[in-house]
Parts: sequence; structure tokens; C-alpha cells
Amino acid sequence: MKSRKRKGILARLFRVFAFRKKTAKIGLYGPPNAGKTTLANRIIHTFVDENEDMGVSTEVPHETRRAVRRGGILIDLRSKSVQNPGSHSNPDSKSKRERAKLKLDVVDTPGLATKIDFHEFMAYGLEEEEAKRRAKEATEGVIEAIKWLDDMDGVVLLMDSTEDPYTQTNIVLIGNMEARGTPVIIAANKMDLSDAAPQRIINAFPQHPVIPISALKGENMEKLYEEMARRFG
Amino acid sequence: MHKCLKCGKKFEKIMEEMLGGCPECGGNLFLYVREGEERIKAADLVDRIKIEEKVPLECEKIESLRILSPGVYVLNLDALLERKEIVMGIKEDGSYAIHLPSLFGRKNAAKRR
Repeated sequence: MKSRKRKGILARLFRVFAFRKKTAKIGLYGPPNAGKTTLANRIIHTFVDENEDMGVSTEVPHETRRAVRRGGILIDLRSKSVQNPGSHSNPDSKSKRERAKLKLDVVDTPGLATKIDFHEFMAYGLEEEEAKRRAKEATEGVIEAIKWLDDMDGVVLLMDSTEDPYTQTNIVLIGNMEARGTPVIIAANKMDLSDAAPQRIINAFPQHPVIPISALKGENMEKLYEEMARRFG
Repeated sequence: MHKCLKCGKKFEKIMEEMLGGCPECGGNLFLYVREGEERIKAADLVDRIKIEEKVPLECEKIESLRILSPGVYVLNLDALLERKEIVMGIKEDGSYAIHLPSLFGRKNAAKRR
């Protein structure tokens, strides 16, 4: 465990000094329905093309069952306005924004879960055969998402602010990434909902930066991008 | 010999009446005492009990993926994150399978790069 951590840190240091302009590969991880695809689409719409989507986002869990990679995204906070029209710009963030530039590959991953039961798909009106097929694909998707972790330079871990953050999935994932030495940013998503409590996530994982966002409404995204530029750049 | 733990009455054999409890006192706990061990106290018997060491946790965590029935899967994220291979437990017949592509996946990924 220790040697792996050391290896991870050394590998990152090597990359920082040897390939300063290397594109950072960032994985969007989290439990099903946390908003990974919504965030991936938000990043693409803001920095690449408003008409391009990385995936389809629905309320059915495990909608993304294969990891999807989109390369060469330039997050440049100087040239793009990433503010939500309704939100207010922070005057202090101007100097940070000038530095915030990051080239990255984004990988939208299937949701990680400890149990996948076809009955949960049937609750959304799917036929039994289709539900079983989805459950199998979702299970393969979890394994695929975990295999991708080996390639990641950083991880944005999405959590649903309306849910209890003390889940086995969150704790196992964070513990493993700490052991690997992979930098993590926690995005406390769905902050626009009335029952959102991002403070619970901040209290649960004080060792990592936690940024409350709404990927759907585009709230507080600038702060997330700044943190990404700082941690993964 | 069977000894009633409530009244201490001894019985050579199990009798039909004993099935509903001790015929003397109604107690329903009996101790089997071997010949020549009549004088052994219960406290001495307790010392004979050997508590086997707990099975290492590793054995409980070996399955990284368990298939409970078609369409129902239990994933051991910890094992999936830690191990290179995927060990599947299939409930119906208690058999296990090792997912071979996962064993070779790393090598192939390294070649692709």
C-alpha cells in the first residue's frame, strides 16, 4: 500500500517535471445518479461545443454503462464565461481566473455501486429481460470504471448533496485513491435542491476539497474549474 | 451417562420421558458424562473447549463479484480496487470463476499505450 502510494507520488512528480504540458486525464467518478454525465456534458458545453454531449443523462440509475472519454478539452477561465447568468461573480477570483488554464481528457464513468439488482430497473418500467441485461452491463461498467482508475491523473468524485455521504462506495473509493496518491476533488452536486446539505459532505471528508455545485443549473462551476486547474494542472 | 444440570439426577440412557424434560425436576439441560468422568466439574469442562482462531478476513473478501441470481450482482468494491483479478462467486452451485481477461487486462493496457 505504502509503496504504491510512493509510486503514485513519484509518477506524478515525474510527469510534472518531465511533461509539463501533458494533458491531464480526469475521471468523473461516483455512485449512480450523482450527476457524472450531467457534469461531463456541462464541461463540454462550456468549453467545447454547446451541441455536443458526452452521454445521455436520465433519472434511471446506471444510464452510463461504458466509460466515455473526451480528449483535448481546454479549460480556460480567461476566455470563457462559465458563470451562471443568475449567479454573482466573485471579484477576488479574478487573479485566480487568470491562472486557471488546464488541458484535460475527461472520462465519464459508470456509477459505482455495491449491489446491482435488475428489479431496480423494472421499477422504471423496463421489461424483465431488458432489466437483467442492463444489470449485467452495469456490473461490467463498474468493473470497467475501476480499471480506468489506473490511468487517471486526478478524480472528480461526485456525490449527491441530498444523500448521506457515509456510504461504502464513497468511503472505499476515497480510501483507495488516497492509497494510490491520486488527487481528488469532491463535487457536492445537486446544491440547487432544497434538501441539499453539502456541509455533511464537507464534514465527512475534511481531508479533500469539497466544492458544492449544481451541474444541472451550472451553479458554482467556476469554483470547481479553478480547483481542477489548481489540483490537476 | 446423562446428568440433569438442574437436579443432578443421572440417567444411563436417554429415556423417552426425558424428551420432554427431566422426569424428576422438569429441567431440560443434560450433560453427557463419559465413564470415569463423573467427578469432573463443569468448570473443568469449559477449559477443554478450544476456540479456533478466527478465519482471516481475506477469506471472507475473496469474491470480488457475486452473482446471486441472474440479474442480481453484489460487488466487493474493495477487492475490485485492490486486486488484479476478478473472482466471481456463482451462488446456484457454489462454484467460482476467475475472469481471465481481467488478469491480462493490465498487460494489454500497457502494450496499447
